[in-house]
Amino acid sequence: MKKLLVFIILLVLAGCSSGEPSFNPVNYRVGAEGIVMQFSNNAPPATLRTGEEFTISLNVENRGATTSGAVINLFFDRFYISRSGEYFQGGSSVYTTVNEITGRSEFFPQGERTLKNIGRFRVSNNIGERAEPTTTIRANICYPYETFFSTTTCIKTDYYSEERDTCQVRTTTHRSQGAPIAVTRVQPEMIPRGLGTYAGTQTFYNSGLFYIFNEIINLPTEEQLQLLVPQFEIEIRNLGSGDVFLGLGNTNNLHSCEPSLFDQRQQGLVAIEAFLGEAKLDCGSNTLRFDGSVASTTCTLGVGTSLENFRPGPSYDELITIHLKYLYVDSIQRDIRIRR
Amino acid sequence: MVWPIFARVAAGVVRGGKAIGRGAKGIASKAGNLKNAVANSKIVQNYQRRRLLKKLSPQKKLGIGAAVGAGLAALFSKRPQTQGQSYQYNNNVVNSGERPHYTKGSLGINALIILSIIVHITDGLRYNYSIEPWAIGYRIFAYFVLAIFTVMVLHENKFYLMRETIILGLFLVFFPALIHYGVGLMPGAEFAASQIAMFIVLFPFWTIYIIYYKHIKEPYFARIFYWYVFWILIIFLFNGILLFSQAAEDLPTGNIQGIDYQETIKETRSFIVDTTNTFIETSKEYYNIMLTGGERLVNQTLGREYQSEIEYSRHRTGVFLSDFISTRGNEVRNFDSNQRIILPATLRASSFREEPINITFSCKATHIQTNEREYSREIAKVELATIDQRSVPILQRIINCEFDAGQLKPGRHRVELTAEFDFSTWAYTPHHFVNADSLVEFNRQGGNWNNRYRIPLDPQTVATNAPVSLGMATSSYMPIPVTSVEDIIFGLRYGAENIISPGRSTGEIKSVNKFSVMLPNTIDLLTDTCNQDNTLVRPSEEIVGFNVWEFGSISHSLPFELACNAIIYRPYITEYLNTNLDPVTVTIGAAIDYTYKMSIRGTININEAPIS
Repeated sequence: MKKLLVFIILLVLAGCSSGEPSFNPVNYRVGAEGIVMQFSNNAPPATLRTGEEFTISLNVENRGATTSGAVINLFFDRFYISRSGEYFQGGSSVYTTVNEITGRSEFFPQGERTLKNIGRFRVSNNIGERAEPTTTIRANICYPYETFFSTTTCIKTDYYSEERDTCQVRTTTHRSQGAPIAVTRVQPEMIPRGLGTYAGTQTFYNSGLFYIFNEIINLPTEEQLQLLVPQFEIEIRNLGSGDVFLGLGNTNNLHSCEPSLFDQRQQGLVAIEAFLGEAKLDCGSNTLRFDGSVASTTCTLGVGTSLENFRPGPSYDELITIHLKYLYVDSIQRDIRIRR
Repeated sequence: MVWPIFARVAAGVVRGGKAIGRGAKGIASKAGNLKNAVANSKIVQNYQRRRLLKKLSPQKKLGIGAAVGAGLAALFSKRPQTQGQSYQYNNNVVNSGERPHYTKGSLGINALIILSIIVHITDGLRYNYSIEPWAIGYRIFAYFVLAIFTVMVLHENKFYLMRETIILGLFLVFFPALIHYGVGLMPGAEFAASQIAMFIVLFPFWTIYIIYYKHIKEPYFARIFYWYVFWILIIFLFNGILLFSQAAEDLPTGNIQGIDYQETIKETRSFIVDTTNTFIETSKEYYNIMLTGGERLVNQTLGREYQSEIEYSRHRTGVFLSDFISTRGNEVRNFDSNQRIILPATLRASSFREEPINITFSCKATHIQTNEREYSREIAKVELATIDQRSVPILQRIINCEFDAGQLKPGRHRVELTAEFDFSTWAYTPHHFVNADSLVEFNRQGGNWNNRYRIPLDPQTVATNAPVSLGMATSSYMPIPVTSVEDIIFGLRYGAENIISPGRSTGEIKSVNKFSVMLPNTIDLLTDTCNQDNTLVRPSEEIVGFNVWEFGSISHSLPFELACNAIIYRPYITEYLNTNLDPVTVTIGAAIDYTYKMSIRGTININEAPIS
């Protein structure tokens, strides 16, 4: 018994302590999944008979941190399978829309699940001379999704401030942010941009009569200082098994997933926005293209950005946030054996 | 009120100090034993004994590390071990001056627990795992010490806890997979588990077992141990490399000594995946070849253009003649000339079609020396009706080839039983269509669509079992790219040949009566591109949404060939435009109806009838 106890303790220790510490607030932006689906048990069954009717339904679950709807396309080989019902006009696919499924949040850490019934189908009556053909049913899901990433990064504005620095500029790597697309690396670099003018104010005290009626005057000043502009090399990865697309007009609304509006030419593109504190970073383009499962870009402060916060001085921590918008498309399949 | 606590703590510290001394001594002794064990080990003797000894010899380091744990253990243990006490373990009561070697040692277990707590809590406190060298070094060191302690625990308990430790270790190694396939037991657990598994596999205590295993006397434990090593190797082979390469991919991009290691890892991983897939697919293919008699392999070897794989099932369709004279070997059956000759053969016919099979039989005997022919009495037509669509419509009958007494002259005769019947062979070829834009983008990114969806370039045609084979030649590689801006044209080429079945009945096609192609009603045939005349297009009665294209006036000899271009007109293309790279799959069926003449031969000897 005691051995068993020791064993259980070790097991618990090994499992729990390597996860997130319990005293931290719930970080629901973890995991590399978005909306996932699975065929329900026996819907469709693994084996069917000719002429048999059956139902196809999918368990759809939002395991990510974005609340979103989805469009599901079901594909079948109509040599063997057809939709049942008199209204059937042929075709190899059927699509349906899933209403918004709540993603994980601080108050709902599990995410929502729903069961989507696709409809009734029928195995063809006559499949010629074949004894036991196998056919594949594929379900394809498309959903608009977002990745929110934020982390503190060290901003160093003076190369000669090492003694006074409170942080060091370092590359940080990251796992996932509760979405299939994740920011996996942020590499900050402080780029000298020559001399620049820092606009500021200087306070003067104008002594009044008998030093009683003192006046405080703020006068605008301009300084010519070495400009240091933070620049970030950002790496983004597709951690899921699906493909990423950009929605219509760089948006990620659900309509973009409808077969009639879906634009395959937008494959491998995501919309990106990045901020350093409240200042928007210039990433060259609003969209980012994947090369395989990785995309990378360089974001820097725009020319017109106020440099007030980047006055030379000791280094300090600043929040960098990255917001990605995209359509994510994934698919599953199930093989069905047809018997006579 | 506080003093008693201080007193207890002080006493604990004193006891702890003593225990540290004892622990250090004990551990040093254990380390010495370990050293001896290592020195005596066959493995070490065989594999660079001296080098290993050098690595394991710093027993002081081991002792210091262990002593810290031992001291902590003593602080937390209920009582220090004293002389003359009784200990009970495994129902054995032992009285001795020293703690018996096989008693449950508080030292190792407590030290292990405490160290586990320290390692995991400090690990957990860092929240996000860093891949900085110092952090990796820390983790490696921590787990390495943990591994050493685990071995010590086992040694302390004379391996009584080994089974549990093995189960724990196995569980931890399987843990990533369990988490992965589970439903998200806890956030980030998959990653944490992969970390655990990585360290356990990289710094496993069972590697120390390998050096140490000669101490495992009990065959039961030894068996477990071997199984353990075996499964670790299997896991490492099939899962570990992928797991670690995934972890390694998370490292920053860059080169090490000019080598882009990320790219190398990616290539290695895809190589492993591709090789495994190819291995599985090839195994399947060879399995099918074995089951189907290797027709496809023969076709490929002979370079035949039209390929198909005969469907294997327990319902083997076709018409079969067997158990005639020659099927009993080279034996020649003897008859007297005044004897009525009855030569039975077994007919077996099987079809899924609802129409009955009409078979006309005839029998003839040819005198081998004079080459004269004698025909038997006419054998009536046999109608083999299908019984039920869903049951196995196999009919088996004995067909008699009969010759009247005196009809055959004395001497050797070659006897041939012929069956003539109408039959059909069906062939099914899945065609995969994919959006051209998606495919171009996927290829641009260096992907391999066929590997990803496990669909061969050359569509695999499956044909039903019949005397005539029906195959398809490759004219369009899969997938067929589809765009919405133009009609899609792709080729269909079919060919039919006799199936050569050595050692069994032989036959030949008498006439090809009809050839039909079943296409979805959104795909048409460009009949002017066909090498045969199309006679009819009708909606399929059997398959909803399909049209049957019939070709009637066709050549009556084999090999028969049909080559046509198929077209998807723009208004119908939407059906084949997927939202992604997933293919839209449509099976195109083809059937050849023919009259077939099948023969089975044998030899008989007619002796002069004795004069009565």
